[in-house]
Amino acid sequence: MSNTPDNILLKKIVEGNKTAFDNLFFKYYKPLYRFAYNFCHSSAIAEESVQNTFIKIWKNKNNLGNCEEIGKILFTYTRNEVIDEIRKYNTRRKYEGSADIEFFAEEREEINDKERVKAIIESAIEYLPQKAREIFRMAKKEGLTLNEIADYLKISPKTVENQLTIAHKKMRQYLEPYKNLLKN
Amino acid sequence: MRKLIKIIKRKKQNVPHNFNLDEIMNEHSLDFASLSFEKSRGDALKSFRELNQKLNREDISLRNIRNVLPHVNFKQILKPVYTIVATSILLLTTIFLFDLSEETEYTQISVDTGERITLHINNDVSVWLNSGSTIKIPLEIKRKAVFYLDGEAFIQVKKSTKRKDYRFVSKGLEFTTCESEFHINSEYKPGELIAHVSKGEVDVNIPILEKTQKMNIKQGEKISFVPMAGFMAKDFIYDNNYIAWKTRRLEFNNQALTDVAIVLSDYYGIEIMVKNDSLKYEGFSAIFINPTLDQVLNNIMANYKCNVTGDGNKLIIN
Repeated sequence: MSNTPDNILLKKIVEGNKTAFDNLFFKYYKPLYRFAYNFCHSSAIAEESVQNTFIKIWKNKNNLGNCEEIGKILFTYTRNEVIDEIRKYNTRRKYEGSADIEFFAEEREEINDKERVKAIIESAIEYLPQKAREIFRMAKKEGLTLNEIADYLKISPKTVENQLTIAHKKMRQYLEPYKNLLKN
Repeated sequence: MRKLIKIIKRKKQNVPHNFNLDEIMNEHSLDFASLSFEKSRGDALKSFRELNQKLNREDISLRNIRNVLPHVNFKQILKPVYTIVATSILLLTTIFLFDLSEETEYTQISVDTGERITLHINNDVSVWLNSGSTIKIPLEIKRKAVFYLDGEAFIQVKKSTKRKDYRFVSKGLEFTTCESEFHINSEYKPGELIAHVSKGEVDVNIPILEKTQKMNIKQGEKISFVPMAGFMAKDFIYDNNYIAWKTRRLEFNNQALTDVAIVLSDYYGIEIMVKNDSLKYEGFSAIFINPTLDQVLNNIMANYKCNVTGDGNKLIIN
């Protein structure tokens, strides 16, 4: 059930199947939250936007029959919700004379795909076990070699290599259901 | 042949072979330096509950959800579980019958409202029991000791030299561990149990659900369980305020004031809400050690230049 393809989930949602809707929520919550948070840097706005996205999906489920890629729709809806939430927030702040959340919707439009892929990959990283994530970060983000990581963590290079293999394997497993969303 | 074995292994593990992360990153002009490796603050369970409330799905309409984590392949997990269960039945039956021949006697300890107690049951097990909770403890700790908990507790199980497994039963869930520190609250919300593992790991047996018979919760993970709906979900732990009643430490790290109000409501047993829309999303950061409610509210008022009023039932941050 958890690995059900999006098109099957969507078909069931259109039929009013709530379990399919719940599965869609848990499948996309993390990437959508990260996607929203990367735009607004506010956890409350990000959370509200993701919830509103799913409310919109559930309420408009009868009109989703012809949609091909529910994943892309979710990200587009979330982006629009974030923009709405920020506008509301900034309007309130204006009356109080406080600073706005800076947000450039037009510029962001062009890099929507990039932000979507970034959010999905960040969610995959979050899913890694702590040790594998740490070693993966040192190798990929800081560019350390196997031996440098091994020296720093006082473990053998073989262990570092094993952990990196685990990290890559788990990343691939996690990303597989989102593969259509990782393409340009 | 080796290649074939590799492909079969990969298929079995559900690992796609034509998947190159670096290629995907390059295609989108992304580099690892720009990625966040931190855990996000997004709480899927909390958000899911709120979503259901907004959709008026009070019945939770989640019957028969075996589990909701998308990346868990239950077929793979269940197959060896079934095999182990089948081959172990004979052995377990023998042990069970042997255990039955000696009836276990229990003692029950209840904590009055407003009180908290610590029980050092033996060298391995300590239990911190929160207000209004009850625990049933076997008078004689056998090979597989079973404790029954109703309410909220923080449990510490140290590794025994005799490698004993300890079982804690709450709301029909069985938590088994030989070394861990974990928290159970069987009445987190009406009809909902939550559990957090802060150290080690705990196996959870769920006799109510259809196929997901066993789940492993590791350090830094939490579960939510609604037996009436047959709903179970796993997520990460985002802060340690769930054990504030034990540690007397409240810690907020850029948390929205609405979330802070929920934590304070649970901790002080008084409903607190943020009414002012412009304050709801404000991030609040502070650490309090054994604070009074006044101290926390004064800090919030000083930070946001707001007022706190009461309407007889609850406190309102305006």
